[in-house]
Amino acid sequence: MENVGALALLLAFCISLYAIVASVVGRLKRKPFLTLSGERAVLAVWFLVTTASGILVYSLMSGDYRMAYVASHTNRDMPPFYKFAAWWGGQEGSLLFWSFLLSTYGAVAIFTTRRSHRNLLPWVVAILSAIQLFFLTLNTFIVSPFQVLAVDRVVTSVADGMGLNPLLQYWAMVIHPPFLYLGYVGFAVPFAFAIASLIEKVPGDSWIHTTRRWTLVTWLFQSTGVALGSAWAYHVLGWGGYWMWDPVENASILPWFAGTAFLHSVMMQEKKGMMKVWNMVLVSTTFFLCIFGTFLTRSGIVSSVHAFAESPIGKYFVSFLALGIAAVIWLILDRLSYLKSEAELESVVSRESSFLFNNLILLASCFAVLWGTLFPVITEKLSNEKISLDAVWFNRLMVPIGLFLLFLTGVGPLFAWRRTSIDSLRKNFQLPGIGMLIVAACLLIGGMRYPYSIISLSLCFFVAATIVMEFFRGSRAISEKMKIGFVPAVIELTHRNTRRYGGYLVHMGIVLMFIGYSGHPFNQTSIGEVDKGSVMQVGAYTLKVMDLTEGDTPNYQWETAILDVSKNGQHIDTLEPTRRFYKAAQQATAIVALRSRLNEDLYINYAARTGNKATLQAYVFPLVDWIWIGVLVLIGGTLVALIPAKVARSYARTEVVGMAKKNATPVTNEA
Amino acid sequence: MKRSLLFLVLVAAALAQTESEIESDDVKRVGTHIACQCGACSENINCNMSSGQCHFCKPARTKVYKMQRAGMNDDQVIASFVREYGQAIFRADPNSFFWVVPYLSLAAGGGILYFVIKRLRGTKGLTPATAGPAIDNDPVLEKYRAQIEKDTDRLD
Repeated sequence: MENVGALALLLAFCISLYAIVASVVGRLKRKPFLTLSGERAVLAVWFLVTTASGILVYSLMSGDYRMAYVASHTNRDMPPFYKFAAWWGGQEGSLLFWSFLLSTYGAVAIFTTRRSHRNLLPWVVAILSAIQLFFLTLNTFIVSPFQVLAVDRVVTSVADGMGLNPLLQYWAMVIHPPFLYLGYVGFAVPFAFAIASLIEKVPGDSWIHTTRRWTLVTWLFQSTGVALGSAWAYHVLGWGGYWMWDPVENASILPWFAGTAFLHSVMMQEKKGMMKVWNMVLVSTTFFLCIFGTFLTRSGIVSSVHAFAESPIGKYFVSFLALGIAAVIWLILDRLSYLKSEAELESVVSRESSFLFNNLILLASCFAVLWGTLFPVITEKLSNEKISLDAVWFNRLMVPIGLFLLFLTGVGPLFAWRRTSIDSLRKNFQLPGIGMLIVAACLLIGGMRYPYSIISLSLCFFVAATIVMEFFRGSRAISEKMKIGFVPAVIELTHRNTRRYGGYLVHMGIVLMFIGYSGHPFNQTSIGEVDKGSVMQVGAYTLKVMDLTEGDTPNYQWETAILDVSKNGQHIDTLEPTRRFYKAAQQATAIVALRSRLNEDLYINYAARTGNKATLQAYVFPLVDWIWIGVLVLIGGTLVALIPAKVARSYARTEVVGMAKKNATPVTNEA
Repeated sequence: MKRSLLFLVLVAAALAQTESEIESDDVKRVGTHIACQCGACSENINCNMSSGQCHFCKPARTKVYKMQRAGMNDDQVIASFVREYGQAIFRADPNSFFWVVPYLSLAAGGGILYFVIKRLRGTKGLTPATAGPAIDNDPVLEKYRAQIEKDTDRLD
């Protein structure tokens, strides 16, 4: 079986190489049969990579312990769910997973655009195949998932495997990597179309319209993946941290920042024909940051709680990144004249400017995180000194930037395109602005003394108020005009322009997440060793240890503390924090007990047991639930933005008076 | 004999470290400068992996707490660990470059943005929207502008 898998990968490697050559030669020599065979080659690669993936998954599920990867990442007693997840649980498998997703994305992209973009398709095929070739090189020649265990050249097997890292045996961790990968890999498609358009010097912005939904879906996957990782850290690691600025976490957020900047900036090109160079730079940056993120987690260049071990693949990633970045820079510089802006910026106080500021702050965030991630490595190289750079330092750096971004989230959408009058500013900002000041005053009078929390909550009110006002004004107008109720009017309004109002919902999701972050300074902690029958206090909660139980399963041993929770003398709940000790990996993990409410979470970790004493780490985390609610709203908003608008539009791009009319693009499509 | 035993128990109770004591802010402040030596990670001893029960970190935090109780300041505690484990155990605070570079790049980005806006504005200066009454009063331009506003508003 493993030989068939390895052969499939080798064939996929060869066919990817053929796809590049056939597509490029076919396009340059105007040989349609060659370009068509290049497209078919992508489908063949998909079939072969899927076959290889199927063989690996079968080996994992059936427990073929002759294979090194299976022996390293599964064991007999693991539930099938986690055996399947072992596909992306290790270095080799995760790289194969990359290839599988890329080949699937490539096949879908080529199939759906086969008639509409004949001129771009050969280049799209060549670019996607070049990326595929890189990953297949790693999978075929450097870190093959199909290596077998052997002693003196005789294939052997082990009785049982080492199992998946126990920390990864959690439902969110099973779906977190696929979502993140779908986001990482997905950006290859908009990137390929952008570069193909640049190579072909295609007039207009067809690559943007073609890839708008790809970009949005990919961004949605990235956002969901990052949020799932955050939820995993909160629920599994045992101390309630939902974001610790770990290098691997940072690797996931870097392309998200750049992708978010691109999603905003691209609107300027669609509507005004501006920022063409910048959008090329952003879509390329996002893609290369996806590759860079993969490099960070796999090269061992940075240490992390969940990075893969140091491996030889780092230099290949560096070479691929260097080549790719150099090629893109050359292409952009060579075709600068084709990327000229079609319009002028009329006013500094306009939607266009707000997008520019938004881009500045998002990229500054991206750079700051990148800098913080690499700073320990750079310092060690330059001064041979190791430094400690934990979440506290990152928070000091990132919180002010984040708050400014939150401010722009509220301000930006309320500026009109082209220019905004003072009257309009007053109309849009007066009430939210006054409300924001009142909220800040109330918080201060109420005794809150954490400046960042006060600023954050006040800004949350400001942004939420501006969004609610936008919905209210539009819905009221529709309600009066169509003589329908307010709720149907809200739905009608949203359906008329799903992109705009979906975007507002996404912003509302961000606001709710910031409400959650604002609770952080009010966290309360109590750690203690508690006898059976004794109590400990955390915040307003009293925890009484009723019993300490233990048990055994084939996969792990467990210990549970049964706790009676009371507040103000009233019993309110019974919680059962658990510890598991996984036999194969010889590693303990926590299954925390959580009492989650909108105002605060009571979070208890059963850290250790000594005789009849339980070491309990109890925390009260205010407002954390709002982070997860915000994520759900963000996902919902993105899905709304993906729904085609009710009113299909077709109209000429707006020109700024006095600009060259010949540059105007005749049609944009909304649906 | 009973008195001696009672004394010993009292001393032991006084010296015993509770979990919350070794998790105090004072201990953690020093802990950020001492690297975990478990061999499986490169965190500092405040690391929460293994629910804070790591075989190196927990005793190390206990030791820090004891040294602090004995009157040693942060530098002395760290120096003691360096003497025992070598310089490799020390983790310094980031220098000012950590702060300066991101904010400097933000400022540089702002500068670039200024020039971008200036360039996108063409020959016009960076004047606010309300400036230029002559343009605002031009009925022909106003007609165009209303049409443009209508079009772009629908595009959002």
